[in-house]
Amino acid sequence: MNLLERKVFQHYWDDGLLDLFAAIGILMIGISWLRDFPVGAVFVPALLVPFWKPVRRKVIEPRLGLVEFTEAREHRNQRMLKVIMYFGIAVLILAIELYFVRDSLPMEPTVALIAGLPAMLLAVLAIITAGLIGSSRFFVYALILVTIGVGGALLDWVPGKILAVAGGIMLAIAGGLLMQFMRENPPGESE
Amino acid sequence: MNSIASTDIPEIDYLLHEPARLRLLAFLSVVKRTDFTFLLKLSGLSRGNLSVQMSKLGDAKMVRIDKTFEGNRPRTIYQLTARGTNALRAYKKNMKTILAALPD
Repeated sequence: MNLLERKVFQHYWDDGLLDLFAAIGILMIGISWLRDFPVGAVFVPALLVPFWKPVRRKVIEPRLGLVEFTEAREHRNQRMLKVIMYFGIAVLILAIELYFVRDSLPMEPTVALIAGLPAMLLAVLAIITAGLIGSSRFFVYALILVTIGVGGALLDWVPGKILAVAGGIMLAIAGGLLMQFMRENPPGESE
Repeated sequence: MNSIASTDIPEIDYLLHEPARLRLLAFLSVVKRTDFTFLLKLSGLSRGNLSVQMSKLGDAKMVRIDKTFEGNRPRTIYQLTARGTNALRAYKKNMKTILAALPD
């Protein structure tokens, strides 16, 4: 991607909607885990997917404007979203597996941090997202996930609580970002 | 001392040589199509300036301009034409030639 295309692409993701969806997804994973339904954590975020396009069209487009990327870019976008989605599902399945077999794991120090593992794996996903969309905000989310993951595990929190707390913090940041974007970019300005 | 004969200097397209228009064409060259609002935020130009520059590019057939309505709201969509793409390519090549001929 050349410098100019990167600038346009970054501008496209600057509104905070992706952040909001990611935060809600992590919060939902945490809550479903807290409600003794950890397997649902894999499927619950998928419920958000159908809302992406309508919300973007209704809330973001009137403020940010419309942009359609080249076909090559669109292919890369779709590939990127697939990578994020499949990696996210794999991460959650791995985290759930490890959490349930934690007592039979041989390494004692690892077992102590295992409750924080889902959050730390989601941090890896946040770093990948940061690289793909060129947004440093997702590095901050990765840092939040790691900090809450390690801190929560040391405080004997269950993974659901760790994810719910991290998701809640991310939701506050993403909500603030989206509100700021909406305040600075009123909809329906005449041309 | 280096000198460049005037015949060695390629023609510069003055329509593209204006900074605002060049910036707009450059943005359009990396997307399929976009609208007024997106270009306005991205370019940092004023509404009036953007409108004037895009009209000039539209008149020169370098940009295709489609005016539509989204509900009651007018929406103007811009797309770089083949002529615009070729002009931008030629401009880049000519500028490279001129810059390369400049003394250090």
